[in-house]
Amino acid sequence: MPSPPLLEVNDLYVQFPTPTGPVNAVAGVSFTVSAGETVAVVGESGSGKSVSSLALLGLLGSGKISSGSVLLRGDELVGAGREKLRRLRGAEIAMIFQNPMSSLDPLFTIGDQLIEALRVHRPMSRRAARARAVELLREVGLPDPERRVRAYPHELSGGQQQRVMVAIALTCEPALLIADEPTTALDVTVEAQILELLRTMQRDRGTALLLITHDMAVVAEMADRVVVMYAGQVVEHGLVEDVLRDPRNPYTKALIDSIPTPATPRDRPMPAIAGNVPTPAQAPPGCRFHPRCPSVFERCSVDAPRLYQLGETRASRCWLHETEPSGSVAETVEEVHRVG
Amino acid sequence: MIGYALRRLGFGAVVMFLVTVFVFMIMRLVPGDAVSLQLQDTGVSKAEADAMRAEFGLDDPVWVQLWTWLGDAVQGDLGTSFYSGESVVDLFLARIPVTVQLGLMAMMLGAVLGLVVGVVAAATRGSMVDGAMRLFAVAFLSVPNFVVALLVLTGLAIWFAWSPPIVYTGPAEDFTSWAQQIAIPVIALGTGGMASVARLTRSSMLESLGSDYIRTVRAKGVRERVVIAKHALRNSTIAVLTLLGLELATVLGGTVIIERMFSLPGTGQLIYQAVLDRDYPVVVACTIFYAGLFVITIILIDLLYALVDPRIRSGKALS
Repeated sequence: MPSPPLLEVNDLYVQFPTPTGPVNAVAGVSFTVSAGETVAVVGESGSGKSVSSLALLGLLGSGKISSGSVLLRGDELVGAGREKLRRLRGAEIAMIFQNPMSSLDPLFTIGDQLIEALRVHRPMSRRAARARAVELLREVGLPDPERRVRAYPHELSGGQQQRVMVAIALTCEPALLIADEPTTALDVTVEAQILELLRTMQRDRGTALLLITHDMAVVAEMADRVVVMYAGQVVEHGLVEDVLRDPRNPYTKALIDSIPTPATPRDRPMPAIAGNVPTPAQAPPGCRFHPRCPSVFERCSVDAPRLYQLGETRASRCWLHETEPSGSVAETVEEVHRVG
Repeated sequence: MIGYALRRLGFGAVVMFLVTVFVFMIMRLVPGDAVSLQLQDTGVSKAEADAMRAEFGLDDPVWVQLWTWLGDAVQGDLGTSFYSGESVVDLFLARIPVTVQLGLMAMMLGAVLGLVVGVVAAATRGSMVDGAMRLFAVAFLSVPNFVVALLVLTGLAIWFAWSPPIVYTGPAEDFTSWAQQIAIPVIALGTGGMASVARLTRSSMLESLGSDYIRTVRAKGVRERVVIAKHALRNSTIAVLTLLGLELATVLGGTVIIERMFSLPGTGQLIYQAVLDRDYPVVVACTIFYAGLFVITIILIDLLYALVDPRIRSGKALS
């Protein structure tokens, strides 16, 4: 580890109540984010990537962290009081979301929403906050900020709204910015602008970025490290170059193979992973990916594989590593597999 | 904004005109007219009755009657009562204050208490408090206002041997007596509205609290109290305003029965008696009054929408 982790998530379980009893949407997830680095959490819909990030801040409606630990600079957040979490939100950890069009309160001007964010964590006169709001809007590249500060969300485009969201997130210079699919709802050109904005902000302020996405192209462009999730578990993590060039987990491989390239033959069906991510309630026994896995063998449907450490910065959850030379000497991250 | 208001007013005027014509026609289609009811069992000859009809103008074709009436109405003359011979306008002006007081207070009671109960229930969702409030809301929603009135009256009479004064006095003459007399009618008329406002407030608060923009507000680190009182509540007001408009119709309808029960000399009692007597000018005037009150309220509510929601102000439809 080059620097001590800013955020350390250990064996996190997130539980949702359902009519048939509680289910774990996130089951034993661990990852770290160091100061200033970009970590991408990638996976299909339903893999638990958004739930993990929302859970960190206590922003889940009915879901609860049932076990595990979340350390922010060594300070435990699981079980922390609501007031403590509230003080951290926006100040230490800020967040932007998938749908900028519905993420701003439609009844307040964007200036008011920025001022609220500014004044909630530090005492500030309204006038000073307004001046700062204009400044922030200029910093995130919103044209004509003096006028736009009085605009309502519906008067802005989706990309502009997401810029406002970034401005709100940056009001208190947070140490960590969680971006939950920040460009999924935007046009490709706007997506590039927003990603560029996030990158600039990060470079200038040294903010760590936890980027939740399902888009491998975004991962390749933005991240230092990547955490691949499937059905509520981490299946592989490592440096972006390593994982993208040489995916070790069959799921990661399938995910990367399903990105169409110009060389993809047009007369055959698009490459895709057959089937769907199982819902947490119907997670299959053994390896959760085995019903869709091209490399499946008998053991996969019986026992759940551990996360094998493959080298210093790399790990993968697959029985294949058991027989590989590097896998057989691997120490495991989790010693015992916890029963949810 | 002003154009919007004027358009609304113009629209309201059209509605008023149509209501007038409709009621005018309907009243004359009801079997038995004022003359035959008045002269019942008096042995008055047909010729004399016809003479009386001619005096009231009832022998003219309906459209002629309507035209004459409209001509007078635009000059501020709503005709005279077939019974008392008093000018309808005077009859009316004397009674409006009672109904307006009653209706306004019942609406206020329903709106304020309903909002408070709804917000508290939403904020404590799933708790005992929420459960109790929802139970009471359903109960009040299911019981008609006159039953509430009777229960309150009976309860007070049995347990405290107290009943409100019977003869109406205005608030300026004897405030205590007025308050005692009008309290139960206000409660009876207000509780139904309170229950529906509470239920709607609760559900639209919950919808709002689960929305993306509330998640953003929470992610900013805003206190939950502010999240509820500022963002969620304001976003719930549109739905509640709509309901209040509709609630007015219920309350106004309720005044007819409740004024009768408590012998309050308001327009409700006036229209009740006028319909029984086929006192056409009074019925038509009362209906216009109720329709007018309703139209004005709806316009006010439309303007309030625009005040609350910038998307309506700028002419964009609600999402």
